[in-house]
Amino acid sequence: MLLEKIKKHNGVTFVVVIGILTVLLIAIISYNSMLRSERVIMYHMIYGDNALIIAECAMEVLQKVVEYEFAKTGYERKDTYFKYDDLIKPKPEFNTVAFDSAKLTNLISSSEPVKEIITIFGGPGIARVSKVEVVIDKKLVRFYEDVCPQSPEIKHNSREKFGIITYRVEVEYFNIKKTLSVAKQIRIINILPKALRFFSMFIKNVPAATDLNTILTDKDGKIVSGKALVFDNGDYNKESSPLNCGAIFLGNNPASKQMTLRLSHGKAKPGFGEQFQLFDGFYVNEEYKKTYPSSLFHIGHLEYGFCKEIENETKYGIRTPAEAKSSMLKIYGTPENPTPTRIHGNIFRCYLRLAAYQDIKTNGSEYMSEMPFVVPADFTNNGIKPIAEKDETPIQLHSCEWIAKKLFPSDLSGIDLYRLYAHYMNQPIDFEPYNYGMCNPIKDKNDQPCDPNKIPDFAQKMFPTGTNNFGGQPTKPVDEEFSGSDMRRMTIDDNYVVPYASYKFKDDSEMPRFKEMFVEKSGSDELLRLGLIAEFDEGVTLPKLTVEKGGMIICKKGDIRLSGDIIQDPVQNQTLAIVALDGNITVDASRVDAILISMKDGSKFTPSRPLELNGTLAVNTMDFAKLSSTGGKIDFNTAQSSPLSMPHFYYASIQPDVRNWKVDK
Amino acid sequence: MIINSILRPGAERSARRPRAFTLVEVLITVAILACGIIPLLTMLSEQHRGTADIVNKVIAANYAKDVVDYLKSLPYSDVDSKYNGVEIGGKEESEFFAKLPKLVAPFTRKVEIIERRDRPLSPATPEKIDYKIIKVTMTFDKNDFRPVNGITLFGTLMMDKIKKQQP
Repeated sequence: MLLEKIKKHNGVTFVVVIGILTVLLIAIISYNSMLRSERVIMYHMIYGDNALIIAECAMEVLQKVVEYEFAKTGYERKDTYFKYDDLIKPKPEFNTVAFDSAKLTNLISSSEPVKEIITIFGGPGIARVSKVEVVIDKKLVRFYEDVCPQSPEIKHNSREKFGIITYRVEVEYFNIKKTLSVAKQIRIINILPKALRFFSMFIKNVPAATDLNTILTDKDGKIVSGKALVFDNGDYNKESSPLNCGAIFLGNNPASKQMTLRLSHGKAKPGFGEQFQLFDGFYVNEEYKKTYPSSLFHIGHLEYGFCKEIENETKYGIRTPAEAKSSMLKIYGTPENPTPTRIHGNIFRCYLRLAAYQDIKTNGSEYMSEMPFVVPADFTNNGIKPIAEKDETPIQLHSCEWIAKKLFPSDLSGIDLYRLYAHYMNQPIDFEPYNYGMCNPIKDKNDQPCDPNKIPDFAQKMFPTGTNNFGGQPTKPVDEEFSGSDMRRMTIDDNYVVPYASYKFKDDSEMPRFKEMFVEKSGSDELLRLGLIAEFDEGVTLPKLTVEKGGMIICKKGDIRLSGDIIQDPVQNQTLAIVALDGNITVDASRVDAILISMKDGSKFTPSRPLELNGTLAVNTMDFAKLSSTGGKIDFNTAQSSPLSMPHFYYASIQPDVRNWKVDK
Repeated sequence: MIINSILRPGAERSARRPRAFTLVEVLITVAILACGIIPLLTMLSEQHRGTADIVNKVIAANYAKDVVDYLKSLPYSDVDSKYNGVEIGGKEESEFFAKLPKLVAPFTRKVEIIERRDRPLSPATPEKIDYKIIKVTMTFDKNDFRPVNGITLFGTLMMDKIKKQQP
């Protein structure tokens, strides 16, 4: 019937109804679809926002993890997420450093805080950290040698660079992926000239009138009131760092004049003097014979020198300090931590201690004392004679191997014998070839021996590369930065240091701002968290600080005064260098764990009271008169020179977002 | 014929017997329309509720972000449980909430600072961390303009430095 009606009305009604219906339908569907699209878009926005919030949290954890990796010392670093060596590679070898994305992703997604955040946002079924990346792109890295001026004595360290580190975190939330990227500036710098790290004391100019030997006794050998300057130069006998011993450089003034340095132990403190390192034999010094013709012979080390104090003796051995006119500059450790010391400079060295001896009076003719446990003041010189064959006349010079065979079973030989002997002597004979390299007569261009103020091949002499026959690992070349031949000219160049300074302060008046930025109160302690180079334009007084995060404090022009102890946080083990570029350093503290540098000509280091320094003292000169009245102790910070910790001194710092970086050019 | 109808439009119509729609026809038409429109209107209503819900969630998220942004601007050590509390939109606010953009009804904001100390960074690492979770729970009630109830959880992280594992 309807069809008929439609037919009768030519279908107009039906078409109208269907048309209205269709229009309504389309309108409603469109509106519905619009609402739905809008809703989907808003959900995308919300999910995307949530994904970004999770990504922000993951990013915070990620940055902390990377910063933590950078802050690790060489000993702690395991190269878990990236190879630190890749980071500090020199310019020709440097390539894009990509961190291990899989490990980082796993670490971040399984970290507790991120998991907790994900739980708040719906749980791991809804949200997850899908990818984490950290990259230092080679294209975004520049080298300081390309942008900083070069100085004549210090060539650029091609490992130093700055650039951009990029963090990326990808998060999935309801299948919506969001990637958060953060780029920060990173700088990889060497916080101080490497050469200085191998020294416990580096004095460029010892004044001509200064007699280091009078610190404890006068020229006649009489004990005067005063304290010894004691060196503890490292832990050579510890397995972890057998070559970790500090060196001393004493630059003569004038350089051509030779300095006589008598080394021994004194009454002031139980210990033992510098180890007399035996190699292949002794020698008779012809020059010495001319000077002291009455002496029958003189025992001295082939390279080191000989004992001046035995001029009227026909026997050799240990004697009390007063008799021996010794105990002056004390270079030794404690019985628990003995140390050999390398001394560079135009120095004539005298020895009072021999490799082995007999203490007839105390122990009978057959007894061989162990040197390391000798307490100096307990000795008398009666009856002590060098190792020799019975009734040997005249006493012959014998090699250490010969002596070793007297001490140990005769069937021992080679490395076994040497090791036993090394243990007996408590000295690093295992690594002897390298120490030996150190002790070779070093000749200058005029073929004059013993003038190490000019050492053209200093690095090779000091630290040859490769592995020796005894399994020892030599350290790396001493210093790629120092290019001069006269070590007395080594300095810290303003142009070299100042551009690295991240923060500038005027003088003492801005110490509160410095403290506000880098010092945190922790009970009675003030924790220094520096992590970069801060520069003071003028003189500054540093208060008592505990170094939690190292770095460098430089004073551009003016004196630095330490008014309180600078203590290194033993857990963080970070190095602080305090540098007066053009001024003096005065220490009015009893303990300083730092590297103190004041190298400019005319500058001086002055201790106001007995100082215990754990680190390095590198100065133009020092107040020896003051030192002789105060005394002190310098402990070499073994972490400074260990091959394992080399990268530690390349400080990879991620720069803070807000900076006050000025470079005066 | 076409020309004729144009020239004389009344002639053909008058020739036919005029007839109106019957009630049945109208009812059938209305029924067809109703069958089509009612489900659509129902769907439309649902969509509207959904849209209102998501709009509420967006607003709630923004209110939550106000809290998070404020607290994250503070030093890590300053953020602690003293900021815990509930704020009901349109009512008197505490000192902390007064610093934030005003919350309007029907939203309610609950802030919770969850502090974790010495927690492992991850199961595979020995390092420990201290961190704080800022958790904001936003709820909104049904009313004339917001025809749905809802709850939105929001959180973020504040983290202290990583601590070395002590031997």
